[in-house]
Amino acid sequence: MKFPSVLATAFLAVALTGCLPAYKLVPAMETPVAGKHLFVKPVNQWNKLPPSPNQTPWDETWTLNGPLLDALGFVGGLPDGESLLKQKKKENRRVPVFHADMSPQDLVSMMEASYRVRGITVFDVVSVDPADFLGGKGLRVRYQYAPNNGITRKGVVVARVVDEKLYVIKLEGVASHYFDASLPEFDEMVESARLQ
Amino acid sequence: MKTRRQFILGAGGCAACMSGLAHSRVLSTDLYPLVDVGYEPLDADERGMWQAMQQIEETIQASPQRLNNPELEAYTGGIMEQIIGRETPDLRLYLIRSALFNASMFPTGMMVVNTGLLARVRNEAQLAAVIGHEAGHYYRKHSIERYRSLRTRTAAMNWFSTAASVGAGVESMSNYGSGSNWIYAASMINTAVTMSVFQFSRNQEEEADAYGISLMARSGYSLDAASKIWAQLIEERKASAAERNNRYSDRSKSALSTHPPTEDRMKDLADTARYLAGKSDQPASDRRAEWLAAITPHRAMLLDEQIRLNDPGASLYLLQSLAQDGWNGLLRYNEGEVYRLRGETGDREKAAGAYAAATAFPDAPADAWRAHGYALLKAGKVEDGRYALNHYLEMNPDAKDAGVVRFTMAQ
Repeated sequence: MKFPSVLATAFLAVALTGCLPAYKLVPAMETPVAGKHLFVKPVNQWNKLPPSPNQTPWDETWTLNGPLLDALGFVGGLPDGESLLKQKKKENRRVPVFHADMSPQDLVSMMEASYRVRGITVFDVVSVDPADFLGGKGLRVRYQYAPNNGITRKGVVVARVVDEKLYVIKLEGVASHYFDASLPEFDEMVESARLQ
Repeated sequence: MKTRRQFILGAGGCAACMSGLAHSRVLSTDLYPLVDVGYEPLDADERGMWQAMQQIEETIQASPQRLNNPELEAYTGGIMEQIIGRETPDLRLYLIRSALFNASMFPTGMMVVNTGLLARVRNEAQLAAVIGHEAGHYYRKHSIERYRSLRTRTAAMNWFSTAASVGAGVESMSNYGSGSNWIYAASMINTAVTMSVFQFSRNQEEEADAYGISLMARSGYSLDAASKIWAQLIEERKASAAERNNRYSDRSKSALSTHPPTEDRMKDLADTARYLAGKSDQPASDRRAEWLAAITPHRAMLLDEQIRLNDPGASLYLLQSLAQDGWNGLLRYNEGEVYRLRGETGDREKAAGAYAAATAFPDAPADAWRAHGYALLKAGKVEDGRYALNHYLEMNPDAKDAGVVRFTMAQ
């Protein structure tokens, strides 16, 4: 009986390993992200996070040193009426929903709400400015917040609504070192991003 | 009549006196403190727990979530001294920016009170009730009791010791205690063990309620404040659930809850308050004026934390409760924010109406003018919208979004 049980264990181990979602290396060349329309040119090789159960078809996340330290997020055309968070039926907090005619104030609130509804209380918008993105004027939002692990994170979002769909590139990271280290590459990516 | 009371009655307590206390489990009198100023841990168990707690306290002291506000810290510390009846070097109160209704007591005398609790209490007596309850956990040594109980029941589980030393040492006010930042490790506890331990903890909660209300009684606070906190919380949760067409359910009725069912708790506290008030001829006060003087300067921050949770039922309940004293610019602005963030059909108009109403008040915050301006622009009233946005920039020339507001005005 011993041998078959070892085999079964080995089989199970192989099966489970096969099921584990894996990070994928993103080459340092122009590549489509979060769908087929948004293209960016990374300077470094990044790691694409495996899809999570809560992920929508419109978002994608990369990391250089692990998502707890830094994360580069993309939204590749969120349609009007959709959200990047899933609304649970029993949850009384509303996840923010995108509308194509949102004002800059609405877009900032939507971005902020995506953190607040997940239990982040200390969230500060540092600046909101107009920014060039995808051939027109978009919005650049700097922010920082305190997650429950007590380690302050900084973030920057560049967003623009094109043909009633929301496109976003977002960098977020631990305030000490990791955020600032990737900020120049983020700016290059925003500048070179294009729609196809 | 048999009551569920589990503590020995003192000389003043007798069966006849308990007729008005049908619900109460714990008699509030004769609960004396088990620790005094200068208390040191007695044995290895307790010393180990204290060391772990001191590390947590250092983390909290430096946490970006800590509200470093000397005035509020002095005010809440003053309430603590008022109810204890002496200076309290043995208790340290930290205010933490978390929108959840919660307060926690650690075995070393560190107390944590969330801003979400400050947003909801209506007078000083209600806050005193919470502080008294938490102090009860400390002075009755609940943490070490629970720690030892957990250790006994989990001797075979080596991995558990770290979680227990953190999780068991912390008593939390909230019925949603497992969601607290500081006691997440408790969730690592094996479910079966947890089931057997949590009933024990419920008894401690009842004892802390009784201890807290006795502290209030001797310091001249209105005793009905303690039960009113829970009445308000139940109403808020019902409003929150109704907004989402969900049914209100009291999670503390679950066998997994560390707390007594909320409605039972409210009735117990109300019974005890009536009983103690009947025995006292001292005047009692809820000290609402003092509370308003202390909290009004921070109301904008407290409301912002709540409104941006995007729980429209709870937010509107809170605003309407505060508006019982009369609407003002801050409340109307936040009402508009609730509708704007909810974003249902008709909410754009409701938000616009609330912003317009807010800007008619002399205390309207600058943000109300910005929101009013954007609402007018959406409604096609371009000139009026630009005027309001300009007014926003005049009130707040260093606004963080000044760049994009000027860009919008130029379109």
